[in-house]
Amino acid sequence: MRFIEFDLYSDALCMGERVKGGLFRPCAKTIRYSQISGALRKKFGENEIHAAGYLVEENGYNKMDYFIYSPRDRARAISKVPLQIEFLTNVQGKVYVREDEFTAKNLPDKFGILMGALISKGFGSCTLTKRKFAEDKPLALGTLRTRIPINKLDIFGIEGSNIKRPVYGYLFEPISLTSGMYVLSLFEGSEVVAPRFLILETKRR
Amino acid sequence: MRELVPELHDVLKLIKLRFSRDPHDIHEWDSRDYEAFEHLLAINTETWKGVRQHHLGFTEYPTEPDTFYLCVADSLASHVSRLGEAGHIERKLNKLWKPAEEERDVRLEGDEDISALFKFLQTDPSWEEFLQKYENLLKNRPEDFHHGKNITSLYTHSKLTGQFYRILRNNPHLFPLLPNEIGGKTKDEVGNLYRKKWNSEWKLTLARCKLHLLQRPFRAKDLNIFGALEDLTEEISTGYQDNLILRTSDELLLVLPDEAQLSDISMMAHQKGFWVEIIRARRALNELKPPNPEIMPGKKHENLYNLPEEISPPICEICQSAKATKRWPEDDILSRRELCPNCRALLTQNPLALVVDSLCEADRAKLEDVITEPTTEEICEVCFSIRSKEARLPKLANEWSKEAKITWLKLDLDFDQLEYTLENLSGKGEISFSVIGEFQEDYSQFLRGFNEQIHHNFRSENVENVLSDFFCIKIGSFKESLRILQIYHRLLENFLPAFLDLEKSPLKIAIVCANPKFPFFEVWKILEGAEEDIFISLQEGRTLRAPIRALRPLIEAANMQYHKSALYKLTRIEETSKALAELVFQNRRDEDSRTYSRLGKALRPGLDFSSIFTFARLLQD
Repeated sequence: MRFIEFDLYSDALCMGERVKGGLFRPCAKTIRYSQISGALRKKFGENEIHAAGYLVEENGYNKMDYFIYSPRDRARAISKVPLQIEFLTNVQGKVYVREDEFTAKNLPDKFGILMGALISKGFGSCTLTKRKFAEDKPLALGTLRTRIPINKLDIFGIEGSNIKRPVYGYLFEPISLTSGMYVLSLFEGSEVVAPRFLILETKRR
Repeated sequence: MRELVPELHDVLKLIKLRFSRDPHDIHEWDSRDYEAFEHLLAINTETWKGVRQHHLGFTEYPTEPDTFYLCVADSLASHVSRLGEAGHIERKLNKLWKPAEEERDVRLEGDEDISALFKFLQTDPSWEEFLQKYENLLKNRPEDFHHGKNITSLYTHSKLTGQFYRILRNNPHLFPLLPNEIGGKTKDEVGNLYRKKWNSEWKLTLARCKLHLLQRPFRAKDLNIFGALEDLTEEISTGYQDNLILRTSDELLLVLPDEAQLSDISMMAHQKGFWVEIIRARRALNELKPPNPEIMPGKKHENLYNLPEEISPPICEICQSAKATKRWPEDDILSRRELCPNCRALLTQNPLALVVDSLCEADRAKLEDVITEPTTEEICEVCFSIRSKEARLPKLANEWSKEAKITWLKLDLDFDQLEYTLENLSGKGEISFSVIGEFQEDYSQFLRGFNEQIHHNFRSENVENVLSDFFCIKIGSFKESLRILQIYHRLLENFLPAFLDLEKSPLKIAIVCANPKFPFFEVWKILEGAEEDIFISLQEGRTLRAPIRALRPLIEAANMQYHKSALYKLTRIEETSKALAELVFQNRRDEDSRTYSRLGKALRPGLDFSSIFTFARLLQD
């Protein structure tokens, strides 16, 4: 199986996690399957796009910042309690899209998508630039750098028996335009045998 | 007659006979000693049988299953059998982390004292009854008198022997031993049987269980999760008291007869809002290598979550691993407070924030304390029950001013580093269960002493205990947090002095200076990420990181006098440029160079510049 590797760049990106205590919305430090696949599906109108990614760890990129947002309740003419939102600036990441008939033909070398929260406030505009192709083989042992639902692991060449030390969480999977389910997912930090591009390889002693 | 009390198997080690060299085997006593006590040695108890038969090397040897189990348990709990050549005789307890100062033979010597012991044994005492009389003696008598082997107390060895004995004896399906396997056999045959069981047939699981929060505590009430953590460790420790070797506030080292118990522990943890990280290895008795199953062959490392495949929305906002079925604070209000039917109906159907203005005046007054809750949170049953409990830190939640200064203080014991340290201190490269057990005794005492000193020094009304090793302290100025280091140093000197000279300590101290409004999940994130021996974080993001060897210099430097203006200048320059601050700090022509050179002399090379600047900032407060 082959994956198309893209560089992702964004000036400001808020890949929000769920709000904590009604006051604070942290930002994910990886590009999860549900978020990037959802953004690509919306952009290209195709439901069978599967992608995942991560943020690069280089100096100067992916700086954390905070934004105070006080949504206005127009019906009651009041402002709600301010919410502190964490976001990233100068975002640089890698995105891997599974190559199939559709993605091979329709994904341009360079294109823009909107991803994450606060898009109406100017966040979330991302540019994806095609770099190369990545093969899922050979596999290696390492620490997962992204979040992938358990039921989608096979798409990324990760077998159940290759999950050595999982870190679980839940990702939202839409069922229709208005509803969805939280599905058990493998989170970053899990120790797995997986394609090299999805992991930080464990150094052998 | 009472069943065999395994803890008393080495009771003869408490006496010093006048003529016999080793009082362990009565048959080998000098006849003059034997004659002196013969009339007292007719002790007809199962425990006495254990005292005489628990060794293979003497005239008497195990002749029935119970004494055979005792013999194996004695080996598992012994430091002595694992180590090689014996050194010279040294009659003092020489703990790896606290060498004894003077030689002192504490054994019972006079005829009267020895007779009293035998008379007491004739009454067939329990372990608890025995401790009431002889605990002090057991704690000061080394398990062995030879240099290099005198590092654990007879108390620890006896206690562990009891634990291992019950693990083996209470699980005959896993440790089978038929009476005809042992009855009527010669000493050599029993020896062969012992080696067969010890080397291959009988296996135990060594498991290290670390408890992790499913929650990310956010509000003061969410700190109740630490109460649940305390309850959980207590519950596991009580339920598995014979299996427990080492315990901290969130980590347990257990020896288990099989692995079924781990599922039970994982289930107990999940029900209370935790998941368990387990490192385990199941090996033959001769291959067990405490304290770290990670270095044993066949080890398994897994995270046990017990999570459902799917959760239909809404998901719990706190733990994010269960369906949210409760609303906070609405369901809490409805379950606890008397409201009029109208207001009750309003609150049942709407979020509190939306109906505040529609509540009747009387009910609004009743809800004054919660009316300020900004939003409704959807949470699961477990998180709801945790949050509904009385606030874990009532002073922080209700009494202390929002403008106060507080310090979060956490002590952390690193298991891996502990193993490395103890191996190095012993110089043998191998650690026994009894050394770990001995450390647990001293570590618990250290924590109790630290707790007392914190309450004494900062006064109890200014201290909240989150856990036995986790505190929240109200202080007048952040500089006072340096007093904590003094207490820490004093307690280490008293209980674990060898740790003060290590390159890297297994015991870490982390301090976060903040005000009560600073979100707890940020504090927790900082505390979880602190890896240095000494770590201090200030709210503005400055950190001090130092090895344990820098503890003494830090305390000395904190007690010196400095020009405040020089320290202020340094920290202000650092705010603009760290590199420039370093240049100023090292510039001998600078007008404040005398202050900087005193600081530098006291703290370099243990602390880097960034840590020195944080220290300077602390001194100004």
